[in-house]
Amino acid sequence: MNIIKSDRNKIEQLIAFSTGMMSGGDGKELIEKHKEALNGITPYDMLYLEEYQMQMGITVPEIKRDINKILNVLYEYLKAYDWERPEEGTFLYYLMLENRAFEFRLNTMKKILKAYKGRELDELGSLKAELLPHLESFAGFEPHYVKKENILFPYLEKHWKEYKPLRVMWSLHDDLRRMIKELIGLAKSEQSEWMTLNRAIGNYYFGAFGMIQKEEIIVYPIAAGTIPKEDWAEMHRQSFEYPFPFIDRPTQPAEESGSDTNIDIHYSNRLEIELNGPVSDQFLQRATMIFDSLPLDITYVDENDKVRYFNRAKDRFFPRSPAVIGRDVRNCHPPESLHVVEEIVNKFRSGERDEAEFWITLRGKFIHIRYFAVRSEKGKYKGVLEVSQDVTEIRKLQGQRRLLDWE
Amino acid sequence: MNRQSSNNELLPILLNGDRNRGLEVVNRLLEEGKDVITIYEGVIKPAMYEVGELWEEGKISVASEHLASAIVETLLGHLYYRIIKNSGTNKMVVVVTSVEDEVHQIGAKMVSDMFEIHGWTSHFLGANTPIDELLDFVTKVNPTIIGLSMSIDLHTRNLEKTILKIRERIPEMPILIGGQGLHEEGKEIMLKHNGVLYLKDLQALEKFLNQAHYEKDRPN
Repeated sequence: MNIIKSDRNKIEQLIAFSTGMMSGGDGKELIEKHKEALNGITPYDMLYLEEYQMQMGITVPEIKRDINKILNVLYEYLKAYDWERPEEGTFLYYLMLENRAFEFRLNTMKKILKAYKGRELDELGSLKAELLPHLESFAGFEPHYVKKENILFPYLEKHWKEYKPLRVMWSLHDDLRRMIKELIGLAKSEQSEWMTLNRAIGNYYFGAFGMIQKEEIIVYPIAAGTIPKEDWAEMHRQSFEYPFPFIDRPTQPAEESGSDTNIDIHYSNRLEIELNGPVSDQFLQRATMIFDSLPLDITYVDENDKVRYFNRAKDRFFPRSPAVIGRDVRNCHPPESLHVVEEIVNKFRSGERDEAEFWITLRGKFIHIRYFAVRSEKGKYKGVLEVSQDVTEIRKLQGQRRLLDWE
Repeated sequence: MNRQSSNNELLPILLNGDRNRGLEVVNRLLEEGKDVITIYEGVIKPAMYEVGELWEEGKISVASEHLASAIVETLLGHLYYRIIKNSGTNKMVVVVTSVEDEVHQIGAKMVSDMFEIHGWTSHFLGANTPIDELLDFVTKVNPTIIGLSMSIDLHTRNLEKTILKIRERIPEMPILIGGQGLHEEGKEIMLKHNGVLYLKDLQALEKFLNQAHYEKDRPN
């Protein structure tokens, strides 16, 4: 575990500066007062600042409310921080390239908005029609955030003592997801007004550009300085589980050599269930194939709340990467849904409950999500099994089919 | 590329300077239902790349290279009138040009045509546009995007200079870059400058113009 070093006095001044900003203080005055601390500020200081804020009881929504404002003021200072930029063929390189391509698209839509300036009310219908494909394409940036949540964050949790601020970032991802969904709805609606649409676009742009800024002036520089080289190679390999939004898919690194009978590294990463007695490779491969063939997304979290297994069902709707194996389940969810996770785990552990279920619509599919308590023969709590299933077609079934019909 | 075994039917036609046969090939491909990307990317571009290589290796003269380029420009002009029907049907405007000192313009012309096929208004400025002239023009027409083409990697400095000058004048202007000269450094330049997108070929441009989500790239 890397201990991220920072100057305590500097952090205290930064806390005073950010508290001043959060309580509506004058930015210029605050900069003047704390300029000594601000000069030479590093991304590590920002991480410490957020960690201390959280320790002080400042909530995620409170941090989120003012983080962009504070970062805008500190941007010039942080931009000057010198760090080793990633080389082509690395995980971080493609995340940054995706950001450039996203910025390009955001700026392109901004130009379209400018082309309509002054005529928005008169030509609202055609403006919406022109914006819609752009907004829909922005939603396609989603895999960028998923790769951070499922690959980058688990590694950062391993190497950063102060990883809690990542929860703020995850929560901001969720805000962007919600905002783009609402924006697409507004662009599609004939009733939506220009003022509402314009405000929503402004908020989304502020959030999207702000996210790129946070990634590139804080998270990526610290990640580059703290995660060891060998982990980066594995992260890059895992990233091929996901699309590379808005850029060409890079060349996939060659798999490590091995015979057909060897267990794939994915399998060994994912099958860490404790089993009594020796288990053959063949058994593990068969078990893996069976679970992967089920039309279900399965994730197993052990009695210590660590993710121990997930299957690789075809068209998995909740993405998982080997990086999540061993991760604390509390870190696998955005802060807004953390209390639900904790409630389920606690009630399963105490024996008060054995099942919980939810159903949601996701990209037009009806998804049934169930949680089952896993217990030993003696009833000892052994963890939680999450089982999610696309039941869209099952819900439509009526009557009976008793004969084979493959048509 | 092994030109001995090259199966590009346009290459010998260009090398022989046979304009009419070139038109016949293009017309036949259109009649066979080939789309413009297939013709540009699969036939014309590789033929011109091979012509360029032959010239670099001293196997053909400058005159032959110019003749081949002139024929291709005729073919593009011919195609333009047959395929471009949607130009200016949306409100988006692009300015496409080769960077200063870059004398090749065929790639940029293809890019310009692709935009027009997708309903954009395209201002194609051709080869070797001086930076200041480009800036003045861009300020006047205020395009949605600027497309910069670079065929020879010797012009990287000019490309970056152009990007920085555009940034100074219009900070948020989206700048598209591409061309044979960027195969090595395109992504690096993109990473270095905010709001710059490198597209490696016309297929990538087509994806961008279709606002593709790239979801299809996801492996099963």
